Amino acid sequence: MPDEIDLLRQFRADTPGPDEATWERARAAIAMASQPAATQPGAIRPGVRRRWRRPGRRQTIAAAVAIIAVAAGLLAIAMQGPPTLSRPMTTAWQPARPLPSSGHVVRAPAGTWRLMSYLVARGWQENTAGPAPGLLTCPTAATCYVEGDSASSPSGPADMNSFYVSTDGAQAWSVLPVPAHVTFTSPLACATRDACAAGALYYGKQPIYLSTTNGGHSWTATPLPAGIGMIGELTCVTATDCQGLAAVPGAAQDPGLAVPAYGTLVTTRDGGQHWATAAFPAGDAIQSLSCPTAAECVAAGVTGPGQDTAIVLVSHDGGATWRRGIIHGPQAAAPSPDVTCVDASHCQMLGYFMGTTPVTEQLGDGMSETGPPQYSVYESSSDGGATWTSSTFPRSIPDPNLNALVCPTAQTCYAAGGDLIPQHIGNTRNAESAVVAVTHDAGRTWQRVSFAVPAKVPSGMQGDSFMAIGQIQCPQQDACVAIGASDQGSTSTPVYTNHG
Amino acid sequence: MAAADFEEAFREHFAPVYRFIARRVGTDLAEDLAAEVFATAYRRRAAYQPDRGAVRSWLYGIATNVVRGHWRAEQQLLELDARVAPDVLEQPRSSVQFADAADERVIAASLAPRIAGALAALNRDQRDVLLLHAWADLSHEEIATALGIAQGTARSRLSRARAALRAQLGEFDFELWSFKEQGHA
Repeated sequence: MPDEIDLLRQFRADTPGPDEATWERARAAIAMASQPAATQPGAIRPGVRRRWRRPGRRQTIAAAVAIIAVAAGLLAIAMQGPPTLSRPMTTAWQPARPLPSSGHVVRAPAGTWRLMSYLVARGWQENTAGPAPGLLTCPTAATCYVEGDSASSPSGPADMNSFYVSTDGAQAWSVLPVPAHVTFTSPLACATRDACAAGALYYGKQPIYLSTTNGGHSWTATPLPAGIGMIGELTCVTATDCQGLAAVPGAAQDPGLAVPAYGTLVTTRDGGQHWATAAFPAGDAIQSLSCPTAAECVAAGVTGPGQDTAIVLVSHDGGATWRRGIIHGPQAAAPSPDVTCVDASHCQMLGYFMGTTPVTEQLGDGMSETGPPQYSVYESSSDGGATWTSSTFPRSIPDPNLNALVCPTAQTCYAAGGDLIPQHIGNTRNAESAVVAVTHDAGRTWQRVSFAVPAKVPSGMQGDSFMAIGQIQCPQQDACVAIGASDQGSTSTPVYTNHG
Repeated sequence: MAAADFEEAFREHFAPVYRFIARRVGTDLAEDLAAEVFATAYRRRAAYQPDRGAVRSWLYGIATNVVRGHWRAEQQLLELDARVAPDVLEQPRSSVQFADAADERVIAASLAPRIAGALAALNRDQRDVLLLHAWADLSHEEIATALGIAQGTARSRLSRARAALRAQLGEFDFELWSFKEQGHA
């Protein structure tokens, strides 16, 4: 007798196979992937919805021909292996070049977005003249940096070798050169306004430590010791004192695009000249790290056979030994936990709830969605990460899928991402809306922050860019900057601020 | 994996992987995602370990992870299918000896909304193993390799997923190939 599998095999059985354009599209993507700089570091950040715009067939074929020609040229280099750095290399000082303005800053009148629940005192204003999608770092309320994706193809893999700076609170942006053949692998970590560092790859293969003392006008690329893999996250308390998460070199990776996770804690006290390493417990893959002091560290990640169980590890000796924290509540792996400890006692992070019983949610516009509930939750600890308590976001933020959490103080945190409220901008409609939520009482209550969006999608952009916040930074309690969700089809990214 | 081996894998597996993705998220999204799967596989071909499983399992593992990043699109497509009114239902069968494959497909199409609704109600883990088994014809062992989980985990997860699907299908009579509440019995 047939069974449910036989029944399932007939479902959508008439789906057609790929046509010639689809084959060409895949060949072009593979050709792009064969370029050395097109490597993992710019891969899609977890939780950030990134959509590809489909190129026209003519564009695809032309791009494929060009890419194959480039790939053939690169093959000769590949045959003899890429160059490597054996000692630090410092680039000459370079001026910043202002980005061309989009011609106008969109200032939608308050209240045009029908999803607004209330307006904050000064409003969140949007500036569409910002940089391409990327990783945001704001060491001060006035100065922000973005590592951007400069991939030549909108459908190719991300190529994180663009660098932008704003010195006026994210209103105007300039571009600064990145050393040749260098690709960022971590967000920038800044100890001061001008002293910053990041993990990077040289020629797409060699892990390096990239630092600047003048806000990106010149860079020093320092090769990492052989035992340290690619750095994926970095925190710097001084210009020379940094800690980060690094991959284990040569470690076998599970199939697929797993959530980026790292196995080694790395520390330098001399600006990258020497490094100390500490391993995390075997089987634990770490996604996020916060060390409020040199000795106290809290790490969040995943463990288990499927690496789908959330864990928190606590160290009181700079990473020499680790002890598991206890999470009361949902323990599914968050796409981006963003653990942050403002001091040795108070820590916060994003968690994720994955239910098993289907529920039906009304999405508005007559739409509904039925399925197991899955949404972000807020988790906090007041004992240095030893125990954690989960709490949900208010009903005004339905089914939140949050990408980032920043806590400028122990009481004030901002969580950003998207939720399941349909969004209309002009003629475009998205199933999700960008959301920023703020708490001033350590997560007991949250308010949804409303901000202006344009009446229609500006030229060169896609509506998708407005359906989630990808990154947020709050260098001061009341001064934040956020950028929209990554969208490779857009020529610019919305930048939001609540100050200036 | 050598470049020549990758090229062979691409030629052999691209079409079925594309179709697997298209069945899950629709053809509009599938073109980009299938390209992403093979671009990712190319970048990570050095990490492919033949002793850990066939290249097919490896590729479907990547595909599953890529699709996971679009679970809301998949969910919305299932919801849409679930809301579509079925065509005129076939007459009840006295047995499941279909005249031919086309006959079977027509009947299955009439049941599509119910199947879509049942799939939509499964959680992501269950849906992944079930569709890898039903649509990609992966065995327990291959599913374990694809998802990076233990074989026992794959077996139990698939078993639970099948039970969950049966529960969602409710009063479906596999002998008559129809839902009992539709009054065909």
